[in-house]
Amino acid sequence: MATMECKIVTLGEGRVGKTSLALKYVKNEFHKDEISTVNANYLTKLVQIPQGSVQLNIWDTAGQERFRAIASNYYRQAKGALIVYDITDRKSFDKVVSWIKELKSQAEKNIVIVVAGNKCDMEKERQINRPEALEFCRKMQIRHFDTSAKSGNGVEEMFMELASQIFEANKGELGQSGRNSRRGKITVEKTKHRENSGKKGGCC
Amino acid sequence: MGSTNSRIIKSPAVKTIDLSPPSNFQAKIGQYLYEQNDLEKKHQRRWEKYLTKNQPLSSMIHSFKESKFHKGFPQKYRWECWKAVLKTSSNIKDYMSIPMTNDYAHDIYKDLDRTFPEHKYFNKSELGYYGQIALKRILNKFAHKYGKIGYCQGMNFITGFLLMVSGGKEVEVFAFLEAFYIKYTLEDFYTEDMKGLKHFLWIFDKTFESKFCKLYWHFKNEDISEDMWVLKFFLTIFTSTFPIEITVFIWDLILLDGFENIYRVVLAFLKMNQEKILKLSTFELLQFLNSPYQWHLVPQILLKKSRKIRLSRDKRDSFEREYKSMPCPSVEYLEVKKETKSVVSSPKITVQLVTEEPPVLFHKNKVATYNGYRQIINPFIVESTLDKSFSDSGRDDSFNAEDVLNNLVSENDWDNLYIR
Repeated sequence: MATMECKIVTLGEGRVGKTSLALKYVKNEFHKDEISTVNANYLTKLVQIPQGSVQLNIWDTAGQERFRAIASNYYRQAKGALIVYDITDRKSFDKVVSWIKELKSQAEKNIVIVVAGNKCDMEKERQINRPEALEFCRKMQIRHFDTSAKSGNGVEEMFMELASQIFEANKGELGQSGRNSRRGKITVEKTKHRENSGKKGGCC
Repeated sequence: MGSTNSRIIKSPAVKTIDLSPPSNFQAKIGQYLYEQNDLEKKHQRRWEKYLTKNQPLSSMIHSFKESKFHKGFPQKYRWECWKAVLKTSSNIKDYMSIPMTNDYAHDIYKDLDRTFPEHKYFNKSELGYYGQIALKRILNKFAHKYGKIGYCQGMNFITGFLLMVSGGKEVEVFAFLEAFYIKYTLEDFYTEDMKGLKHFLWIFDKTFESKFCKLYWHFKNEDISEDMWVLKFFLTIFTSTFPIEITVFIWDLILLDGFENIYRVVLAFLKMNQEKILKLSTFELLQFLNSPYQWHLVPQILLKKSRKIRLSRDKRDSFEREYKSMPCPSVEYLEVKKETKSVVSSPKITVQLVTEEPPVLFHKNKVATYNGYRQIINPFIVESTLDKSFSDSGRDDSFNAEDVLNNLVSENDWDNLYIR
């Protein structure tokens, strides 16, 4: 079956759990003191969804804004974006709207965005009302997930949803020429075998 | 409000503050940083033999033979040597008089327990908060003194690394950092626009192309640009990318032989892994460049190979000229004036590399404000109390753990800190 390869970026304030979410999903690991991310980390996972399979190439970015001035390639050809906020940190939620605006202006038109309210295992210290967050995302027409990188709650579901939305949004491109199969573009086979040009299925 | 207070005090971060300094041996810092192999032990004994002949350390460094570069400094004398190279002098009074107030305190706080958490010195469950608080003071004082730089993620790794190498000598580390940034003109490495870093990346790109054409074009074909990988190497000067027992050797080389060795080290590293790299496609390559455990590096070999890479002065100069002659798309970056003289003699940088404007949303004054929500107390506010007890009391190196805790539970303080 055809595999769709796509780039997704994680966005959000520093220390909201971008790296932890990605690591939990890809490697099922959780570190209480995750090392702070400089510039970006790269993780990948092959996801099976009912329609096909999607290779998620996760660009896990640093929270500090000054990295955006130098790394202009973050959003280029990204098919999906995961905006993370920390439910115990009001500031990080207030920033979500600016990330959405940023994506709308900088990223590709059909980029799929989902929002994650992370650290939902710390319900006692919650600062953002759940209905408020849901209402906000409903207005923006974006799916919202309660996640916890610590317990793993909601993580799998969120990435599955992201993968299937991306698949839906880009299935038109599947089966097109593999010639422009660069990072983030749609390819018809896994990257590993790209040098094996004989195997390239779906080429014109 | 009462409930808000008790909630924060209950947080485990406040409960376990332990400020008793660990011994170097226990904390595995300074000369106990890592286990030396036989070669290094032999190297150290030779140094000791020389040193007993009443030779001062500085003359030892000067007589350091070029062929012995790859041996680096012995661990026991490393920090003293580094200080001697930069000729730093530190004064505890001056250090303590620098206030800790700055605009980046919140950013710094967020990174404290995420800096080398795997090392004993910074691991609060092993040794308490000793390392983290030293790190915090240095970064805050630095951000205060050098407001233009402030704090950039990555500086935490450099500072943390130096704290470990020095054996936790906070005051000396601060002086060393200042001298280091000035000597190698790294002030604009860490500013908002990262102008200096862009310059280094550009020169690296050119050097890479001229040195290893095949590898270079593999990177280009796979659509990988410098800002995706080597930026991290340079920004943290290898401290967040290489294992610490390798990083110390790279720093030995940089300090002995100049900052352009950062290019050499990266190029040598690429050359050593060429076979593997050429087989990898875009995302695999990015992952490989981010996974030190896959590299299997031996520091002495890496340094030997690095020294073998010849960087021609003429070529470098022509790259510099090319960089200078590029059109200048954005004038605003010219404002930062260069005051210090460079030893590596990198010329004044007057152009910006990337022709695209940074995303408008990230200009400081234009960050979207979303006031639709009621502001409530921020869990990080607990920091302000800590700051107060460290800096305002004016005795930031000899504080009392009990005072800190008392401040934390005092009701009056919370009233003042509540944001409406």
